[in-house]
Amino acid sequence: MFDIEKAILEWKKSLHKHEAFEEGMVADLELQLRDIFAALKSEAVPEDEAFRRAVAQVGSPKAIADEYRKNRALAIDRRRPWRLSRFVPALGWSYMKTAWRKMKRQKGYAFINVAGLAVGLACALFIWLWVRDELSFDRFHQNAPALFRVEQDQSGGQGTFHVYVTQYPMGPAVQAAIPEIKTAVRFARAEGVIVRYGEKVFFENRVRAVDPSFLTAFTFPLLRGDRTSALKDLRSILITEDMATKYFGSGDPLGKTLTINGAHPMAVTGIMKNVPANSTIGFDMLVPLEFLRSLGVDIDTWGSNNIITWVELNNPAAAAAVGKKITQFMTDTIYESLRGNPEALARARSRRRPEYGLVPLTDIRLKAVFGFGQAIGTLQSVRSFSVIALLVLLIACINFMNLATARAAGRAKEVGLRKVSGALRRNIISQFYGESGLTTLLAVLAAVIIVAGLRPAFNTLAGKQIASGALLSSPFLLGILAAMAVTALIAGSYPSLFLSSLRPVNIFRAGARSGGRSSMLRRLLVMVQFGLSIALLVGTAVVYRQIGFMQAKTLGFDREQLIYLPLRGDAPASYRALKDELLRSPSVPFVSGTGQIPTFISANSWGADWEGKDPQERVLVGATEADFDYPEALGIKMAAGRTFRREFGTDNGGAFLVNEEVARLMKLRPQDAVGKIFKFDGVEGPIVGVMKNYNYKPVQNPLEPMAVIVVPEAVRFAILRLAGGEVPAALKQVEAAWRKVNPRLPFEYRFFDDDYDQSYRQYEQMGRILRWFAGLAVFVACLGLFGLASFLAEQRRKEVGVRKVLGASSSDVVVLLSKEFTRWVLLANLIAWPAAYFAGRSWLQKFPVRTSIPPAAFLLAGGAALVIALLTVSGQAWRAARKNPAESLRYE
Amino acid sequence: MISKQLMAASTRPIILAILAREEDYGYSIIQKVKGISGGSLEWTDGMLYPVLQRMEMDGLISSCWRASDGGRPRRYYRITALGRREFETELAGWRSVWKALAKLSAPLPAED
Repeated sequence: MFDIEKAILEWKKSLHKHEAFEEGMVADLELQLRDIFAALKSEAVPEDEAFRRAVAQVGSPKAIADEYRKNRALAIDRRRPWRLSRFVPALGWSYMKTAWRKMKRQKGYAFINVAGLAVGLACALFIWLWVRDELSFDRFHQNAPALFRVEQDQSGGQGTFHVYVTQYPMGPAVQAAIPEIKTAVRFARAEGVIVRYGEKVFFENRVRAVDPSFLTAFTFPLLRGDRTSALKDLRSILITEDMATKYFGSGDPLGKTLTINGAHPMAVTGIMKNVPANSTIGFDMLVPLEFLRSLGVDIDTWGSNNIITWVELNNPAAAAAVGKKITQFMTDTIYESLRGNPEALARARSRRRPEYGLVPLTDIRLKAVFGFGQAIGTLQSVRSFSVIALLVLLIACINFMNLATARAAGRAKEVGLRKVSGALRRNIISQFYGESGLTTLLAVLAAVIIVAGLRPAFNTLAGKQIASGALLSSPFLLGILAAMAVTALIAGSYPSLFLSSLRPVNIFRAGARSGGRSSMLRRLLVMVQFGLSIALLVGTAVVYRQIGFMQAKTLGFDREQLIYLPLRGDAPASYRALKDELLRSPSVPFVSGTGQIPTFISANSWGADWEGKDPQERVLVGATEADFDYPEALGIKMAAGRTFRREFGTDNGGAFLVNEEVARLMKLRPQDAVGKIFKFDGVEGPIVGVMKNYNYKPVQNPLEPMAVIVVPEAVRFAILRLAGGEVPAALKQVEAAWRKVNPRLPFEYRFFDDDYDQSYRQYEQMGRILRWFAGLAVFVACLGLFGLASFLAEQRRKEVGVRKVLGASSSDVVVLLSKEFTRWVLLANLIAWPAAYFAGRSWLQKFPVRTSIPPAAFLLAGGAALVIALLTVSGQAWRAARKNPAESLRYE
Repeated sequence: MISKQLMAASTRPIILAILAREEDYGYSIIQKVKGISGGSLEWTDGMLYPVLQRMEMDGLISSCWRASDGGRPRRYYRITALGRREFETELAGWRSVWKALAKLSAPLPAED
């Protein structure tokens, strides 16, 4: 009897002899065979005959197998070239998988690595944003590289005094005389004007008078109006968006009329975008320079340096030569003007003339210099912050390296196995770089999230306006990529180079040990980490101490409850009446006045003369035009002589009060200077008193000589001392007096204190930023130390077990485990202290009055670092020490 | 009888033509070929399967196992979009070959 199933089984066996047949293919053919067989059977063909014919019809197994084999060869050949496997090294996925599994298995270490790096990177990115913002200042003008500010060095007995103001007529004069200058643009303040539109009246402090070419040389964005003609008309005014809203609300300002000082109607001819935060040039309104004549300003005088002159050069490279030409031109001009006066000409010729130079617009934010060589640019901060960013990042990278080398022991066997299986050294290197790359990638993602989330807080901290768009700008993204590449390279360097150098023979024979070399390196790295952290702490302490020092320093006058009222519009005319009115109130014991903001007297002059002065020597003396009662209101003590008195007729405009610096210049003791005849600012009169030195500029400026003369008509600021007690009540009375005298003018006052605090703001911001980054540096370092300590405690688990069995107490073990770290952190002070000392000293150099760096700062910073480190380590040590030895020794 | 070369060249277009109408399984495809050609296209049945596999590799057809009406599992083949496009191209090619042959084999016009 024919058994079809058995026959088919036999037939299938014959198929399996051909290795090209796979299970599915055999199934296909079997079904085909069965179908043919069934069809034949239904035609009443006998079973054995039907099977024979079916097998014949299916065909020769060898021929079919050959076809299948061709297919398979084709399939292997046809692997598409764009498949990932061609790009990723052969074991790429294996490396990634290994790295990922390692992370999952050791979540703690992975977290420390990623978190540390993320914080470090976030710091670096923040500082990078800050630096980029600083570097972006003034670069938005289309022809920024061709724009320069004319500055001058004036020389005299005290040294070279650098100023960036020039004479009114200079701009057009040099433009006409020097062909290299394409345009000269004058930029002057029209301060304290009253602007009115209908019922709306405000004092405006940021009205600037400029040449019409200002709008074409500088490309501040103009929203409405025409750049070339907007300031051509003498009665035209440009306003910013904010001003447009302030005066016109939602209405269209164009063509409307703003009235200046109640007398000058000005047509709005253009609306500017608000001046960007990264512009050193600021204004709210622009009027034509010629308009200043209407305000009574003499803009034809060569007699004083009041305004800023910008020049646009045809060829920026010629800046130095143009500076020399300006010097020559100005010298010639002065000599020319003195031709009719041989005596004055001879005197002028005997002196050194000011030297002019051009400073690029794009350098002003960073490298500006003022006065006797004080750097007021931010370049130093840019540099120090960049260094700090790199240091914090470095600390974070060290964490990664430390943990990776510490764990090298555990990975040595893996490396050995990979090498035995044929991995080359470069394969291992790329594997470990891949791992650091993966960690870095995660850290970068976290850092970007941190930066995006904390951007507003950082803006507040640093006083910046970094827009969220900055995070999407291509330089920022490139910066991230660069930071990522650098971090991955640094962080991955030691583990990959060290582990790849291991020889499989040593790994498997001696059992893996992390080796003396790497533990030495770890010790060094921890030292570097803590050294950097301590240095940052000391730096922060120095900055804060200096700020505190400047704030607490006795200014030479009493700034408590001292306010001033700016007198604008026609308020100066009623100063006398205001003073009388104010003095009627018991809460205002003293009222005086000055011509300049009392906390920043910037006017000075080289013209001082006195009997016995070397005529060759020129000195620069600050000039204050004030009212009677000036020293009394400010609370300035007298060193010698008396203050101004109304009883002496000549005291009104014919006598001087000077400070001790002037006496020093005169080479006289204060008491001897009293009574000497002094010539200054066209006035000749006796010195009636010598005031003790006081800081009439923020104290980061050096004390400069200063003379006071009584000119009540020149008063533009009323100075009021409020009596002790209720300040708000006193202010109410002051306001009432103001309203009575000046009913049509807004009431405005400022505290001296506020002005001074404002002048420290830059340093306070620096201090705050530094404090945060120093704190984060310590945090990241401790994070690494925590990981390292817990790892080492884990590694010494058995040792601890044995010690405890032999009678060591828990505290013995804690001491044992902490001792090593303590030594490293203590040694770190050796690096930190000198570094911090020299950095701090060089920073303090720029302050004329500066604090010392006390030894306590070093001890405190070192101590704090040690305490934090010990707390971190001993926690881990305590956990290790508390473990039951029975557990840790169970497997021995 | 059709030459071996022509058989080899025509197999794929014919399979595509059949599957373009409806999805089908191996045995049925062979039966259809035999039926339509009246036996002039005689395939070795087993040789169909490597061709089908190759066409699947090329993405012209796809397959899945399914139980048939008789309860026996069968691998059904279905034409893909790529397969349809391939079929259109093949068909156009065959048509132009046929046109050329037809013209060339027509009796020469009488010269008068």
